[in-house]
Amino acid sequence: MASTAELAEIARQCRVDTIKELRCAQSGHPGSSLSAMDVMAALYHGGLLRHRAEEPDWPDRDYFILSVGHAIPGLYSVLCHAGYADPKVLKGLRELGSGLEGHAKRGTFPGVEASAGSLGQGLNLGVGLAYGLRQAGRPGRVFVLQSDGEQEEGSVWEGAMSAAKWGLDNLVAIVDKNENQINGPTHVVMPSLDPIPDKYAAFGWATREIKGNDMDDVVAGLEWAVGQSGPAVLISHTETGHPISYMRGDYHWHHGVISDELFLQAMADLNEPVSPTPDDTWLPGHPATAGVG
Amino acid sequence: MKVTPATDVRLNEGDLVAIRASFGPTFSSLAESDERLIAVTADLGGSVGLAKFGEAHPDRYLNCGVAEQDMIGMAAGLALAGFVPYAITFGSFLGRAMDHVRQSIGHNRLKVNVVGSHGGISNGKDGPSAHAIEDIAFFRAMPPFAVVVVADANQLVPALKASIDHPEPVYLRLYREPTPVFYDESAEFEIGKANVLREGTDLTLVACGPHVGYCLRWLEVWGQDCSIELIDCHTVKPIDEETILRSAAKTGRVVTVEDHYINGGLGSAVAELLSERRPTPLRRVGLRGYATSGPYYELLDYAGLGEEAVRSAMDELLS
Repeated sequence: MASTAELAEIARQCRVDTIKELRCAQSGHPGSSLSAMDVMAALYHGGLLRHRAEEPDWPDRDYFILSVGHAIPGLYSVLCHAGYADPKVLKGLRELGSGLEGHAKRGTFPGVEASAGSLGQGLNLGVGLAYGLRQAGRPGRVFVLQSDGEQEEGSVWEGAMSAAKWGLDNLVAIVDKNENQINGPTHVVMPSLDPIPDKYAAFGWATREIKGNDMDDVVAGLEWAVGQSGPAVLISHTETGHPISYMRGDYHWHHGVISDELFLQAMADLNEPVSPTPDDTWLPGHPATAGVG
Repeated sequence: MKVTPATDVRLNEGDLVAIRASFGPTFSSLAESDERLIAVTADLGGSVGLAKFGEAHPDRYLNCGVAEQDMIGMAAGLALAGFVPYAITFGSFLGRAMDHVRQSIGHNRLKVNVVGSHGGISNGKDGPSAHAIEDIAFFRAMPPFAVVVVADANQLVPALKASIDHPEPVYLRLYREPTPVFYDESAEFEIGKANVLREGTDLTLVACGPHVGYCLRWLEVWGQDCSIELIDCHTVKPIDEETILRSAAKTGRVVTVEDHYINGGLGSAVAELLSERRPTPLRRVGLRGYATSGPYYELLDYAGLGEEAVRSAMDELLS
């Protein structure tokens, strides 16, 4: 199993590729792709999510359900680093026929388990999936990654209520609490949303708050969550666009367009050297990045 | 002009059975031998006769409480785990869950069958909040779904059986009040294949749900002065194009009859088909707005779904 330092480096590399993806697409959602990156990298590379890149449909696998469907560019890069696909395909994000849909879509990219994009559905699906796995005698766990703005959907609380009823100890929810949503800071849009942990606890969940951009805390939190006797939720305090200087904490980067200049700044923020070579089709101005599919 | 009775149809006067009451026993018997079947409900399983199944199989009868979105989402998750779930509530309450139907079932291409009971105004006395007059339109607009409207308590049996292994998700519409039973349980049923119950040459009646039974009764009188073809179009989607087009070509006049809002249901489906493939004079009988509380059989007349309304639509074309 990778050390937390190694996991942090993997997360950094996945952030680099996520920025490259988004720059190629000239659209998409960097804010939560980057804020939730450490949790996704820890799951797929830290041995906590039992999965097989060479056999995505392995019946005994754990399921990762990306309920916050717009964070899919981040998941594509994590899946590529885990061996599900060649990282070169990432440049096709949001292009016709690439399979890299703008929001999570089941069946178009290996390892993407469920469609999302309309918020507040992953937890309900995850509850049914966790129940079904248990009923079928399968060992799989279900991890559902949601956003904090998503908690405004009423169906989330329907799922929170029923998960506790069924006593699903194979269900872990993670709330990526980056404090922003599309039209503004979450505490402005819906000040009564907090405190989120208390609300889950009131429905009977085990709850824990973690520093979601701190790999040591992320791994410790996930290890704690899988050991609970019923459904467990991690409230993962993160930063929108972490750690890109011009995105950090800014709700305007829920989605956005990364220009050549901003791309280079992001690479610098990620300590990623950019060396122009004829093969580097990711680079700004390279003909291959114009409308690739 | 003559009316030819179809051989596999019987019409027992006074033989009324509630379609929804047949659901529970039928589902239970199928689920006994098929471990894939799981019922998920938003606290209305008892209204379709599932209470005993729930007692016998508490692990396969999941009551989400009054939470339709969770019901649909859970059913989708169960399908992802390999089960064949049935999500069951009143048709009137499915509207709030349609986005979960769209994404969690539709976009995921999962096999979840949805059961909308108390279809149309069959839950008469409860009033418009419990009348399902939009549900067929909802599910017709969901790409993977087949839409099956059950005509009587006996047809429910083969319809439910057919829905299990139909490759796509199925919406099954049931009804609350006792309605005429005219099929044999052994009558042939195929999703997408309409049944021609009476052959005729002057006009085609295309009906679904209990109105098929009502039309059979009314035809005993109407059949004296004209030759009417009656089609049970139990599958509104995919609609049986061949049967309807062939009948329209023969009679040259079509009237549709359904307990649903006039837009988006069977009448719309037939109008779309005929206008594209064989323009034919058409009248549609259906609800023109919300109904009100009242006894079901009285409400049918009040809401323009009774014998007079159907006869009037036919006469417009026959005169």
